[in-house]
Amino acid sequence: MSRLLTRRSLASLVAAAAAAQTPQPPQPPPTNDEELAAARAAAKAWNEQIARTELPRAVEPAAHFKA
Amino acid sequence: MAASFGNDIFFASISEINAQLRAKKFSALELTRAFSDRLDRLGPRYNALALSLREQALAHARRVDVELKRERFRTLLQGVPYGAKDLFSLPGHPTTWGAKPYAAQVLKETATVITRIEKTGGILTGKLAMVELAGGPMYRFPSASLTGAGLNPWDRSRWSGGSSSGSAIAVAAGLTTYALGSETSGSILTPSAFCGLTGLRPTYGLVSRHGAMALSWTLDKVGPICRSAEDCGIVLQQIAGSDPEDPTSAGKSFYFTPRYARAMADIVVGFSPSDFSDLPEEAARPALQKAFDDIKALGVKIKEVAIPEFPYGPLVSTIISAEAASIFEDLITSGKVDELADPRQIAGLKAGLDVPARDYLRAMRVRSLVQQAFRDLFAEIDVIIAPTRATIAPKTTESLDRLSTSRPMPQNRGFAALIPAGNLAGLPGLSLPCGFANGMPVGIQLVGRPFSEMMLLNMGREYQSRTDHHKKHPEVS
Repeated sequence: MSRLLTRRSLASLVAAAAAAQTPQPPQPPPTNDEELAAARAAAKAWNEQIARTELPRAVEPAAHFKA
Repeated sequence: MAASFGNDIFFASISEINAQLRAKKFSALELTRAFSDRLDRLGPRYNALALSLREQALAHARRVDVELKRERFRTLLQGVPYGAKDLFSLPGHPTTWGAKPYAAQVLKETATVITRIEKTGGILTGKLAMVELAGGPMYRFPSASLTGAGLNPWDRSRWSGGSSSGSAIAVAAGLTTYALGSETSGSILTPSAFCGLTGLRPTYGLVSRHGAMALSWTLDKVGPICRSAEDCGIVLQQIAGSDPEDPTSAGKSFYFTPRYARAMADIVVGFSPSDFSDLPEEAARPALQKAFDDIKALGVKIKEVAIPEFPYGPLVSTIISAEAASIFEDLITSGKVDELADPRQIAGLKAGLDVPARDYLRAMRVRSLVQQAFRDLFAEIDVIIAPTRATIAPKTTESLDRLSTSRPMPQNRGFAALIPAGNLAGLPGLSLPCGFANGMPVGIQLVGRPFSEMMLLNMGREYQSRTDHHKKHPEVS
């Protein structure tokens, strides 16, 4: 089945292609406060993931490595 | 008459060099001068050199020559030049830990591993560059170092990997015959894979960490980066062993005796198929699949297994974050932490001070489960085989965030988390070069039970006796 290419649809295609080729303005680097907030959020997220592991009461912290 | 050296000597094995020294083809002084010239000239070109030890090395080489003249032979390391990551302390010289706040730091003790190699006649020609504070809790850019991003000798626009960046560059570029590195979570295996080298992460506690910068007391390991498994075994024999100065020392020695290693037919190798099909970047798959086939061809038994399910990344990150913040508390609270190169590193260290004790202890308790799960897994198999890294070395300008998020991950992630998992469980790991993808080296890793280094090294040695990936080196000038 053939599709009719109208002037409007052609214009929107050209505009979309042009937008895709336009480089996005560079993101400003995060400020120190933003970096710190992100690091704290990451630590919180890690702990949430770790907390999903079922942990029997008897399990002690890792300390020894045996052959 | 002064010896003239061809290019081959800079890429020769430890045994080859030592044999030529004993045969008096050249003196240790001539050899050390040649290697020092090369390290001092080319090291800075790759951001690999933290400190030249040329004069000290030449003086040591003269003493070794006296020994060799009297046929007082020590070990295969006698007279062979090597380099050490700038996290090992050496009195009378700066030990910078790759970080600006420590640029003028001079420590009083000598790292045990340096003392041990010195006693065998090994000649330290330089301290090698590293990622600041061995990577700390996290960093965003390869340039997170006092000396800049480590430039890969196979392509200077790409990263060497870290944090033992200078150690890997120096060996890959033939600036030293071997080098000492350290690993908390990937810092030996990653640069070894990215630079086409053989790197060994020993079992936690096998090699003394005395005199090495601590990043995480419960994760740090010291190990060799070499061209071959054979060389790794020779170096490990000298640096392993009990050390009263290291409270975590396992009190075990290591003797490199491949002739007494287990027969290949007795070894069961565990693998996950997706590690060789879906997980690696496409260009790397043929080399990795070929490596898997070559390992199978050694006569080992093969068994499909799955990695125990744990949040390895969050576990290792929480533990490093909490321990590093305690270790570097002075740096953080004094504000000098802001002198570090990488903003994420700075933020990560600061955030580590806020990790609650309960979170750290939960991570360490789950780590006990990880260790038990790997003990159970190693009841079925002897070795795990997986790609060391799923990608080739990134561009030096690339954010390391992009590295982990740029490719969709398949449903079955195989042993993609083997580096953090192996480090959490204290397991030895050996990375072997296994070919190239887009002109860059690719590596596979073999991971075994605690203290199974002999088996891993012998497998590596057998693999390298049938392949020549470890003999390839970049054109360096």
